[in-house]
Order: sequence, then C-alpha cells, then structure tokens
Amino acid sequence: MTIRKLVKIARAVAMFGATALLAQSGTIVATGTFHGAAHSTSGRATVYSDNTLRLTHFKTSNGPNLHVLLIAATDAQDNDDFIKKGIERVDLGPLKGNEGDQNYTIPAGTDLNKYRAVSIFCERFSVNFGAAPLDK
Amino acid sequence: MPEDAAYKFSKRRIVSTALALVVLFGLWYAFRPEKLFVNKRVAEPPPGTLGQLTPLYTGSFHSAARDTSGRATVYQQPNGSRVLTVSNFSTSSAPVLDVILLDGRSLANSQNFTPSDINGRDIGEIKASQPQQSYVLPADLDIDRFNTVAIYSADLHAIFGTAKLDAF
Repeated sequence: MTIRKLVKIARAVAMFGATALLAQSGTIVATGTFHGAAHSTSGRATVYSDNTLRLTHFKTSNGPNLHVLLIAATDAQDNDDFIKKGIERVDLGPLKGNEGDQNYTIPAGTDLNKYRAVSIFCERFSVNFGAAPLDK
Repeated sequence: MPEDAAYKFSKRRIVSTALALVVLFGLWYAFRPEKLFVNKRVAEPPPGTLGQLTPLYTGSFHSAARDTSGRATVYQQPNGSRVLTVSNFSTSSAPVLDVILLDGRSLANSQNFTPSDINGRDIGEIKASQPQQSYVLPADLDIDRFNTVAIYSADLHAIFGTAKLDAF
C-alpha cells in the first residue's frame, strides 16, 4: 500500500467523523454582519440549523421598544419604515439588550428564502436601527 | 370670599400639576431619553446543540473559472481540532476537484497558476454534486495566513471558485 493511499484512507476516516459530528449538532445555515449608520449598529447575525438566530459581537444604540425582526427583503437601509413600505416581517421579540451575545427562536416553518435579512426595529417610531443580510 | 378663591386656586393648581405630570410621563415613556445614556448588556451562551462546535471563520464562495457558490466555515471541535465545512455548495463537475487553502497573500494570479507558483495546502478532494462536506484541518495550519479556500481542478489547471475566510 502506498503512502498516498494510506493518507487517502486516513482522510476519509477523519472526514466521516467530522461529517457525523456536524450532522448531530447545530451548524450555520446563514450569516451576515450588521450595518447601520444613523443608530450605529454592528456585529454578526447567524441562523443555526436548530432554528436559532444568534447575535454576536452585537452593538446598537439603545432606544424605546426595539424588536428583532426577520424581513422579507435582502437588506434594509438606515431608518427604513417597513410598515410604510409594506415589507412583510416575522417578529422574533423585544431586543434583549443593546449590547452583547443573544439568542432568538425563529418560528418553525419560517421560509429563509423569503425572509433574508435581520432588522433591529424601533416599533415606537417605526425606524430601522440596523440590518444584517443573511447569506447562506 | 378670599377663602373660596384660595381653595379654587389650589384645586386648579393640583389639577394642572397632575396633568403636567401625566404629559411628562407620556413624553418620557414615548422617548425614553435615559436610553441615550444607559446601555443594557446581555451575554447569552450559544444554543445547547452548538456547545460542541464553535465557529471560527466563515466566508462565501465566489465564482472564478466556473460558477461556484456556497459557504465555507471553520469550526473548532471540543477536542480542539478544527473542521472546515462547505455548505450549500455547488460548482461545475470535474473528474477530480481538490480543496486547497491558499496563502491569501499569494493570490495575485488566482485564476491560473501552477501549484508550485502559490503557497497552499491541499486539504482533500471535494465532490461538485455534494452540498455539504467536511475536512479535518492539519493542527499546524495557520488560518489567518491560509485564509482562502480554493476549489482547484488539476485536469483543467484552474481554480473554479474561492471563498475568503473572515473571522466569525
């Protein structure tokens, strides 16, 4: 048996182990980084295979009645008003904190081919504070 | 009578003070101005199933010689080893395709090169038709340096697509 063949077998075994592990635990489905200038928003939004949206390295300006939304668009601009624009949305709940890592549950059956961006939305004044496009 | 007038005056004052307080409370509730100065920090752990894998780097594939799409992500396993996965992956079929991690600084001529021209590490073969595949990375591999995943066809001598890995 040549060394090349041995290396191939070792790789196949390692690959099998890795694939098995990935199958049983949450992996990234889609991810993207926040942008927002008027209410400076930054960090990363990631959808995991167990239907969790997780924000990491997250920061936005604090404000009244902020919610985390999935919007039926590929992205959003500063201060966009989705209600006026008639953009469909899935409300994941009130923003838990304007800084830090946090998780939100995406309702089962949400079509991520339709809802392709996350928005931090001020419900009081209908203003988009920041958005992150979710790339698969 | 002066007593009456004083009574009326104070009653009006109470009413107007109460009204002013209600208006102030309404304004405060609507604008929550203290939030300009007060931050709320949270630090939730990753969801349960995620404890096993920690994403370290990720990036999307871009087409080069052929249409290529998908995502490349490097996870750390609990035992410390690192796994490169491609997900949602698609590229043009070829007899043999290799995954090569390229030194990002050697990519001046990224679409056409001889393997000796550039600095890269061959990680293994990849199937064009399989959307999800994984590779265990060598422990000594410096991903900050070898930060570009390339899909390489030796037969066509071409890079089908690349994904630049950014810190997660």
